[in-house]
Amino acid sequence: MLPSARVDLNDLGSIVDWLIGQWWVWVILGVVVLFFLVIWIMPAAKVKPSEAYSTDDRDANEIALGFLQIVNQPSVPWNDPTASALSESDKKRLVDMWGVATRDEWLAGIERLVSGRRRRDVWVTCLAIRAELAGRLGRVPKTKEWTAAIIEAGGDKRDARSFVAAIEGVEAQVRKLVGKDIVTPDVYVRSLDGYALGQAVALATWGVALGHAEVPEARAIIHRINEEGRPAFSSWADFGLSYITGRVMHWSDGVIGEKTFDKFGDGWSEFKAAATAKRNGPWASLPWRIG
Amino acid sequence: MNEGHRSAEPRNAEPIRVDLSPLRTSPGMRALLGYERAADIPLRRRFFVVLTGVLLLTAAIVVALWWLGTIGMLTRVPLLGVFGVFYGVLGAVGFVWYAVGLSRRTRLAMFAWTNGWAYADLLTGTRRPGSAFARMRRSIERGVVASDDERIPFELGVAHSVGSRDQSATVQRPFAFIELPLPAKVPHMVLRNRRRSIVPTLGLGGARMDLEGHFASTFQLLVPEGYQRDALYIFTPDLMVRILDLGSGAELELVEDRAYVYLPGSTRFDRPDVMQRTVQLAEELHRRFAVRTGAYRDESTGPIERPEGVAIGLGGQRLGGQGVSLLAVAGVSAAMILSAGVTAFALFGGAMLRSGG
Repeated sequence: MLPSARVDLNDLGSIVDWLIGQWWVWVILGVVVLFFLVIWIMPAAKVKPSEAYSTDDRDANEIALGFLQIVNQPSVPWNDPTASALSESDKKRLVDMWGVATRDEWLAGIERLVSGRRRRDVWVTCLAIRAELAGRLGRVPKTKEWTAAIIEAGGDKRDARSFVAAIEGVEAQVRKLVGKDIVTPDVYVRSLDGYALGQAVALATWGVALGHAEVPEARAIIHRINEEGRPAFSSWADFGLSYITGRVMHWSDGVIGEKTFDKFGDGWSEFKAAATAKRNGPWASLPWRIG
Repeated sequence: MNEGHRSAEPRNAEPIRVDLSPLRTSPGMRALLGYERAADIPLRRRFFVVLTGVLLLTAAIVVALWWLGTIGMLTRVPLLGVFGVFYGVLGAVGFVWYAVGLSRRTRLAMFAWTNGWAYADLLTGTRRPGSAFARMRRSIERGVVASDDERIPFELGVAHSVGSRDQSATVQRPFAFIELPLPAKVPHMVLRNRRRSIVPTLGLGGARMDLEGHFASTFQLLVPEGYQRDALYIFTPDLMVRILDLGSGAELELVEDRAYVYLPGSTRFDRPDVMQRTVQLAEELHRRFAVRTGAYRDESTGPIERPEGVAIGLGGQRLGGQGVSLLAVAGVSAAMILSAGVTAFALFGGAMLRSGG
């Protein structure tokens, strides 16, 4: 071991030699390597449902539409229509955040989400143009094709470019993080309704926890949300992509910066868990089409 | 004291009575403290907490100045005394500013609650579709009054652009607004005030229509291309006369199913005469727009430009582009000129001074 007096601070080689000779440097390095090894080897956490309720019948399938919202902020078992795991502070926060102190406010909140769906006409129209173009071409339209179609329909050139870039950017991020095996290349954003519909299902379960309704009424509301909302999507992946993109677009007002996805697109990890069979993800086992 | 005005619609035979008396009296300390509790104002922004803070600051300044005087520092560096007095005066002026604002909002809240309307001291993230709101990255609204009476549904308040930890504030002067719901969605239209514009229209697309008669000197109508006739149907001369009655700084915008009247940020809704004019205008505009826009249909577009559930074709939904504020352009230009001047002086200033003498 080199005594510290012999370390020449102007010579990098001398400093490295000295560091190599120190036992505590090896201890720190070992702990860091071990930490990353454990994280790498450790299996990802499994999705934990409530044992009191089914996970494979029609009721479970319908409530699974709200998975991304139910397991996120505040997190409770996805198949519990009573949201019984909510703490008192969670409930207070939900009442403040959603303005659902009374049963009427709760019902109005669900109605607003189901009928209004946080839609903005410009976005709805541009996405409808993309879907129509995809139908004609038989494939997902390229950036230039979609932008040109928006401009041809009367849209502003600059606005069209920024909207297309925003949607395609979020779509690419979700595909990369969730996996191309789940969000396959033929799945693309055609609607942003997924976010409002997922929230509506979650709000229905929170209403039971807040004492605004009993389970049968919440189930009936969730059934209605599925009946009205599900036909517009083709798969769980299609719905999940719509939810995440809708969330990012809503909270960013369509202005996507460097940190926007990190801030509002954090639901991608729950999306991945929901769609992974090894992690007990309900979307991996439940069929999209309900008989 | 009750004051009312009668709607012209037969179905609205019952007069709308608005009690303006809370706006005529100054709220006492009890009313002020009651307002703070009812409006759920955070502790750090409450009257006595702010007052305590200002008094503590003043006491600290006085003690510091006294101590500096005893050790003879004030006689050696008298500028320290100037600093102390400056911060003391700044604190006092700031407190008076805050107290006056609080008192005005208390009056407004009393007025709203007396008339059975909703009131919010501060709102964030309202996401109103109006152009002046949409361009602000982050905004707050103060003193928001909302009526859900179907004869006169409106919201009013004052919007401010604020910065966040990550981003600076969008350059946008504070403005007062009145929001009215429309019975149907309409094309985006802005009745721009030529003298004092609140909606930043520089760089906005669409057609610019010059109006006839004396309105041309005050207003310019911005509408998406192809919707000029629709605009003339909605913006009748008598409607513009009513907007002019509000004062020289008023502007009007129709977007989606909302109408916005924009007024200067200094508009005092807590004054009885201003509030009475505002309520009358809100009722009148609501009635006129119901007639003029209720049956509006965009017949000019097909299913591609206007998919199911969307009332207006893509070209008519929004005036294209982002409006730029003249204030921002002037600010950036001034900063660039100043920066260029400083750079030029740094490079050639010495030579210029030498050659000058």
